[in-house]
Amino acid sequence: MRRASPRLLARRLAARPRARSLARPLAGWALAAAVALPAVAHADRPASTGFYAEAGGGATGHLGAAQAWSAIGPTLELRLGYDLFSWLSVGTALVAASHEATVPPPPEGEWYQLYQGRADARLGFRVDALAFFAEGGAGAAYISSNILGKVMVLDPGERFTLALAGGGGLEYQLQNRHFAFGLAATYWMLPQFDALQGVSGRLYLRYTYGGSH
Amino acid sequence: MRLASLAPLAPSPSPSSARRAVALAAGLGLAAGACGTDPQYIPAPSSIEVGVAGTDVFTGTATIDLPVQLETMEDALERAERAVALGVGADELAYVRLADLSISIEWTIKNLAGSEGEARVHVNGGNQFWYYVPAEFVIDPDEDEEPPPLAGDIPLRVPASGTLSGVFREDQLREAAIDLEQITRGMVNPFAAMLTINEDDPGVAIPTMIPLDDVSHLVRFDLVFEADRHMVLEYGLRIRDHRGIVHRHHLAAPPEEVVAWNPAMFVPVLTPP
Repeated sequence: MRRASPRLLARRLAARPRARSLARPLAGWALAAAVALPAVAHADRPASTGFYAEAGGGATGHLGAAQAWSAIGPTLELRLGYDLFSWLSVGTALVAASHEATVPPPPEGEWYQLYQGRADARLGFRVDALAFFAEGGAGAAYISSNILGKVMVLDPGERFTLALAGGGGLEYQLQNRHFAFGLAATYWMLPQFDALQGVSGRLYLRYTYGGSH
Repeated sequence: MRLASLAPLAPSPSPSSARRAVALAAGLGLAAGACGTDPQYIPAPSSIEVGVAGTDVFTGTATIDLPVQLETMEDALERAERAVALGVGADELAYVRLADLSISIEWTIKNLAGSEGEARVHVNGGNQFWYYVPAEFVIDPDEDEEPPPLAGDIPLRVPASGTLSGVFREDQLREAAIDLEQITRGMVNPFAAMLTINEDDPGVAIPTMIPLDDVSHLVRFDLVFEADRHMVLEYGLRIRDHRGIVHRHHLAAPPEEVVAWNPAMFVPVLTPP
């Protein structure tokens, strides 16, 4: 065994504390990645990927100044699409929401419906039975009456607008690989309707027609 | 042990599942498309204010003409065919008929005075042929009583600094349109016309009997507001357009794109004693 010279030993001892301070966090990250990545890449619970249909219900409320002109109302949402990968889906979203107009009377106690049709994309990942996702899209919206014209949200004759939306949520994969339940929230904005905007929250059931991933 | 290994085998996807998904999507699409009679709202161009301090004006009036698109050639042909089927002249059958529109008037009265007051709202108006003015039936003010308006004239108590809302319903305005047709072309006494409910009648004799759905609809609305103190009436029309003839820009429509209604005031014919 070769003995280190006192000069070399002193140099090694001086370097040791610095090496330790870098190595500890790196080792922590590596350990976390080693645990998490296989879980993401090889989720425990099987889930189908392919064509999917999703139906859900919840509530929608307006944001900003329009909050005063519309009450929170029920919403129904239907989505159809295709999983390009386990982490990326594209599809369409059809949304119908009904609101009581709370504009200055008259009229009073009247309801209107807001319909949106959008092309959507969804990005996400899954850890065991839970999936987390973010989604967004653009399309068109139609309002069933001109009642918000009274408060200048709509111009005369205006019924259609561009619709923009984005949101996210989480999904619980059932043991049956075709079905999952989810909870999601979406922010939407309608530029031509005086930038009318709101948030909807929904609980949904998703059915995927395809092979297991 | 993995939970997945305990899971029952998923049923193999069947074509019926996909069909169900498509049917659901089609159903939602149909529901969205089946909204042809969604209501449209036409706010009054201005409110009616009466009883302003320093004035003795306690009655105000306002008129709204229905913004209906010009009659197309197809509409005119369809009307002519319908007139032949009913046995009347094409010019005797109105362009806007009862089956075309369901109209209601929603109103709100604001009492601007510091004490409770009484108010009345009258609805008169006209179809494309005639408009109704009750005062025209008063020949001798000492002898003749003015007939009632087509709708309204109910005394309303409005609390101090309060508001009161109400509506002339679709069935009330439908009845008003039938009464107007009876009074004008049917030559029925206005008191008799107002006091009878005609919603179950087979039709109105003008003098040829025409079904209720072919009776002329109101296209002009004259609102009269009476109050015993300072009050404001705000109102608006709510229309369900079953035929798609109301101009989508409503009162903001270009004048050349809507019918300029020009009914004649109905003056009763005096019969010799």
